[in-house]
Amino acid sequence: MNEILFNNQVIVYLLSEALLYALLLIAFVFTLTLLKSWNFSHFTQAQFRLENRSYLVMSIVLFTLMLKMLLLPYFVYTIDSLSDLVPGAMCAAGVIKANGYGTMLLTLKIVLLFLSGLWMGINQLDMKTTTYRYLRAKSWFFFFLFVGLSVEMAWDILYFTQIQTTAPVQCCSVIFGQVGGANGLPFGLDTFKLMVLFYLLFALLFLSVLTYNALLSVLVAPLFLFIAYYAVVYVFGTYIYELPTHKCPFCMLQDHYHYVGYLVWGFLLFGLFFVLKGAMFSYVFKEKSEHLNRVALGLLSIFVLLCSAYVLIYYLKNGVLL
Amino acid sequence: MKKILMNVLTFLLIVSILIVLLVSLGDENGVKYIYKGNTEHKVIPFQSKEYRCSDCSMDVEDLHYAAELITQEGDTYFFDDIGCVVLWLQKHAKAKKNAKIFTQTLDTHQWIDAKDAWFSRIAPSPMGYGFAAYAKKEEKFVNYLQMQQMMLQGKNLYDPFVKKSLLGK
Repeated sequence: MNEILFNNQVIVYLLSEALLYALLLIAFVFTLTLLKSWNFSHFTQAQFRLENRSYLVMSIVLFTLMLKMLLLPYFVYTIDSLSDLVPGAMCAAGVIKANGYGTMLLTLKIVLLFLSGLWMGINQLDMKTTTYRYLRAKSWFFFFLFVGLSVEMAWDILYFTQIQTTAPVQCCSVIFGQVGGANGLPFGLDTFKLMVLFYLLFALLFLSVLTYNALLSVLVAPLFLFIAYYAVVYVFGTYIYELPTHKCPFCMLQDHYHYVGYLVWGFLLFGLFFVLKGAMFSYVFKEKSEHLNRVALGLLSIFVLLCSAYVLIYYLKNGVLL
Repeated sequence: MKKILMNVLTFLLIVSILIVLLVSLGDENGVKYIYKGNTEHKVIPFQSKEYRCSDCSMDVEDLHYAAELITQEGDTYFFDDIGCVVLWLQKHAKAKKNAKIFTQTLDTHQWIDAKDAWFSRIAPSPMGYGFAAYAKKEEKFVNYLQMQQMMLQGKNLYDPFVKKSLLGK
């Protein structure tokens, strides 16, 4: 049996995932009944039973999705801890590339995190109404979300069972370094232009959220995520590591760097999540939420300030930039 | 008034972002390290400090010692020292297939096929390996294969024994 499956973190992670998936499966079966038989205009015993049951089912889904959100950083922590077992890996970067499922799984988890948050948003709106206005919408949303969660569960198992402890993997300096002298940045950007683009996109996103321009927010948010990823890996990360050649999105999650990666990626992802949630509320449900926008702007501003602070502090201490 | 100001600001930001992206995309062929699309496999003329060495990442400043490697696909890599070409090829064996290597010569100041060149072992080359290309053979010069072997074995001016035997110090 694969040695990886005896790792404490992997056992805890897979068991938690399996347990949560079992809860979601129960909720899914009941959601199918809801979708099939729900009719709010009927004053029948069956409809009343469905209404009561819907509250229980949605509470299970809400609880489970919230726990799954907490499991994402734990998943990253787990694969980071596996770098001690997988030859060649210095951090989670090598482990995630140990087989073909790793990168797909992490991407899927981030997408599902966003979708789960949006489901919670619809659920929150639905709970405010007395007529279960959005029950069908959120049930259908959960239906598709569950398909994604099932794929995630399958990939979780395939990923962890297929990590080899005998085959060496590449370390982050090889994965994110300049392979063959090629420029690792997209659109032919250099470091300076990447920084200009990063701050311009942040300003545009800030402005779009501030002015409740939902469509612009939805368009700019993914682009900002894309550019911010490169900015953190190829520029800000080098200041976190204080080494111009060290380019890795995962090493900053380790204790040598005071786990700052969890804050950096957390503020970015949750900030963008609240941007999208606010945009959805405003665009789809015509409900402008000042509170959501404030949270989004706060989180994104902390992300930008945190990253910029590393550059500024390095410059003040050493008098040069990397 | 505030709304107009916000709209103008949004418009200006979008335009600025598009400009940065367009300038970068227009620049993509010559970003620091590689010139792409050289399907004719000819030497690409370039200025001092225009490119960086693909092996040591230093600016290719002194063009007298510069070298270019053109892969079968037409990707052109630039090097500040012929020794860097050898070290880079060791790490990128796939690029070796049908690759053309050109080097500047110190005597004729022209680009020639590195495999036709003769190499001095005591030149003040940018990386200090000591190898510099010449079009004409002189005493104690080595050919490309010998130079390659010496680089891979570390028998260049980095080795104190080699340095002493060649330069007497």
